[in-house]
Amino acid sequence: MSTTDAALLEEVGRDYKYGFHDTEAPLFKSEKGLTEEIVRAISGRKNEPQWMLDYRLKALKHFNERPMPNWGSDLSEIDFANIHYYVKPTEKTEKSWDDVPDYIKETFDKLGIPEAERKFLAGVSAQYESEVVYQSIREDLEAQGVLFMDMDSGLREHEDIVKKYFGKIIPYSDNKFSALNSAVWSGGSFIWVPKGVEVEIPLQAYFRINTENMGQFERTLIITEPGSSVHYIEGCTAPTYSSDSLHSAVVELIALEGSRIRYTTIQNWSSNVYNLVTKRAQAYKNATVEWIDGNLGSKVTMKYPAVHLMEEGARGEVLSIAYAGKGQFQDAGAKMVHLAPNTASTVLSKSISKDGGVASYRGLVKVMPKAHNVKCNVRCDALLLDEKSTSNTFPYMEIENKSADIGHEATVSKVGEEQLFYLMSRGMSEDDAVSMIVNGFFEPFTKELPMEYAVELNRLIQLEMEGSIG
Amino acid sequence: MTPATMTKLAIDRETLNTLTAQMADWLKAERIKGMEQYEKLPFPVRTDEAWRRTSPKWVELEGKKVVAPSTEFGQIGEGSSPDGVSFGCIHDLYDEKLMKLMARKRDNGINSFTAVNQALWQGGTVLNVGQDVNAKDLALHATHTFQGGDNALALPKSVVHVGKFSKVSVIETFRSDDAELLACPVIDIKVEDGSDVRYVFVQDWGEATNCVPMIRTEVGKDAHLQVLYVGLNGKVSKLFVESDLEGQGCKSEVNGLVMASHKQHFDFDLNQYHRVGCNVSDVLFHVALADESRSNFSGNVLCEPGSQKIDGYQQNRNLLLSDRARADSMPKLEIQANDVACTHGATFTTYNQDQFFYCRTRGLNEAEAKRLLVRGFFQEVVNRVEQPVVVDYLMDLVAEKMDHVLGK
Repeated sequence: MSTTDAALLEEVGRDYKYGFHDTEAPLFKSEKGLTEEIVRAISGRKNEPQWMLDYRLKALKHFNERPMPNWGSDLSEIDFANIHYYVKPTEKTEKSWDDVPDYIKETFDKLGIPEAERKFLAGVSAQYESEVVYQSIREDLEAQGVLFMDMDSGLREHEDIVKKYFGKIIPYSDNKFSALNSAVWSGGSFIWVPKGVEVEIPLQAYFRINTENMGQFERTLIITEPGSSVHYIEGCTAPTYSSDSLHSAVVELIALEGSRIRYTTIQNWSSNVYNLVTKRAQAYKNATVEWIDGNLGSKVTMKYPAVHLMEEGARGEVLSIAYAGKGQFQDAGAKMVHLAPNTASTVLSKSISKDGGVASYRGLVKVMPKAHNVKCNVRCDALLLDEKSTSNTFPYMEIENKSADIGHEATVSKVGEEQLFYLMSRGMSEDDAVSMIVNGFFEPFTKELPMEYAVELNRLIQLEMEGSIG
Repeated sequence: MTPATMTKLAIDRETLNTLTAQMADWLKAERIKGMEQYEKLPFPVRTDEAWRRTSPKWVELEGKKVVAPSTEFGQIGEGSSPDGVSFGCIHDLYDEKLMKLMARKRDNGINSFTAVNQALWQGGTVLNVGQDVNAKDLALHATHTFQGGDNALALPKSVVHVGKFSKVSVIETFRSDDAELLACPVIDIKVEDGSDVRYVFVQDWGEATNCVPMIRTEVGKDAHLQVLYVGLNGKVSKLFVESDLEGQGCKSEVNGLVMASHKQHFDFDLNQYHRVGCNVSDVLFHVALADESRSNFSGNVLCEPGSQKIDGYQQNRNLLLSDRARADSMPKLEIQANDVACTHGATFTTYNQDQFFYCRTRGLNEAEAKRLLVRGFFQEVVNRVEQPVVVDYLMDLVAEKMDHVLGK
């Protein structure tokens, strides 16, 4: 590690309150590197059915053949041979918090999870490294028939549902990283909501990387049967290590007729994590899918949540914010694919770049020839806080139907001087005034979050903004 | 030597050596440099970002033979052009001094097509305007007409140099017959400090002509350049515009007025580089699409580090007149300075049904009503051309195209 890296690391560690790490004590840790043996070993340890092993091997073959994407951020530094693809921290998935090993509990205590749970959380599933270690679900939800468990248990206990949908929305051949995930996936959430059931309280999961050079490859599958609804929240953190980690998840959502899924992510990986995630949803007749996506951490994020509007009346929404600080590349966006008539979608993207960070919006709106009367509105706002930083906008619009009504708007600006002047004339310091304006800029996003997340986010932003005026 | 007397030129060293045997050293060197570039540059492939939506196979250079145009020089509007304006055939007017004046600071906007053009260009225009010349009442007009044929390649080169504090307006119309032709015009425009220039590129090719035009501009301090691309006819068109905003206080406008029909394929690749701060770039592309035509708009506003206080606008509006037409739009921004105002937008709509209904209630037939609405759609772009004689010329061309597409 060169001295500049060390300085950068120190910089990174200072403000990152999740930068702690526990001494590792895993039960099983795969060798570094990606080989067929490792894939077989992962599958073997989980006692998976043959079709899943075959799927993993096909995906591995595709991963090896597929070239690295040469667009977007620079990914050349990822060394696939230097990653632990599977680390198993405990023997089995625990049902009660008391049974969770102390060292893992300590980590989660620092994250504030059990407290939150005591108050009102429906269920917490925390992914610590590759496996989900703790999960509880409120009894009334269980009585309603809602399935909420980690993906490995999902595969074991509900193989029929998993087999029906797994890899159908995002095939392993979608991109290099979906292939990687399909080959070595472990953990993630599996949610199935029966017909007509409305899950009133958000379901939550927490993902954390604790091992150096660790890859986290969770796989999430959410299915809402007709007329049901669910709100799922995930948070992500990792300790600050000197070498880079890789997070490459695949998330598949299926919203059947008239159902509703809201998927909220607050991504706050430490600044040495490559966050390369594939997220896609299918919305059927009159169904609604909303992605609420907050990207604060990581070194490089490339994430474009997609909604495929499959049948008439479907709605898709993406609301995202990105914060790119020193050395960060936030390449986020949204994809809306209109396959059916009378479908509508909205994208609102807000980004802030500071201290040389690069924030990009990269999005796609596609209207197929038979999708009549489609409405889509895309809005991207970017705020640049200093002259070293960069903001990019790369919207792609492919319209093949004349009745479509598509609008795209983007603005890039700095903090308004009049606003700043006004707030300071009311007695605020410049720092406070800027962070208030920034919070206001993110307001359309934060107001969609549950209260405790909104407070947390505001505080995080405030922390990042400290001393931003030189 | 006039271009008409020349035989068809193959793309190889031997032909180039014969062609340049009698030429001055500076011109020879420039052409050989072009050939070297051509040999070095890989021909684009489908996976290149710029060629993802237009197959390079449609515009292969391999085995093509260069043909020369016949050109008419004239003007639109009354009056005679003032002293200090030299306007005419590039073979007569392009000299070493002008070449040096046109030397580019940057190396953006170079591809296989511009390289082969630099090596083997045949035909084209020179417009060289001195200082303090006001020639804006009229519009200079050059019409290049090519005859196509098997493997025919058109490589016209146009050079526009406008000295300080001058005003000038020029139109180039490119025509061809209905035989097969690939056209790769290269237009270099350099606008010195404080001048005001309008350049109109009218594409009126025959139905079997594919083209890859490149327009490269350099705009000096406090200068104003308006480029207008009028896309009407031709088969496949892949337009590149590379604008370098080199001076403070300058404004670079790139406007487009495109009426596509049948199976026409248009692809626009526009880059506005803010090399220094305190200037304005403005892109407005209105594209009407009928039948099975297709349009791809890819625009980029690039603000380099330190280019503060810039305004960057980018608008692409698409009017879809048919269910089978397709429009793609990628208005991009790459901003590396914080004190800027950049906005872009893209819209896709069909004509307004209420307006259409109103027109019909006033006794217009279907074709007339549509024509009126399409004309209205183009009006915002046309309004930017503040010269009535030029507007009339353009609207006549558009009306002719609408006769074809929408009926009378």
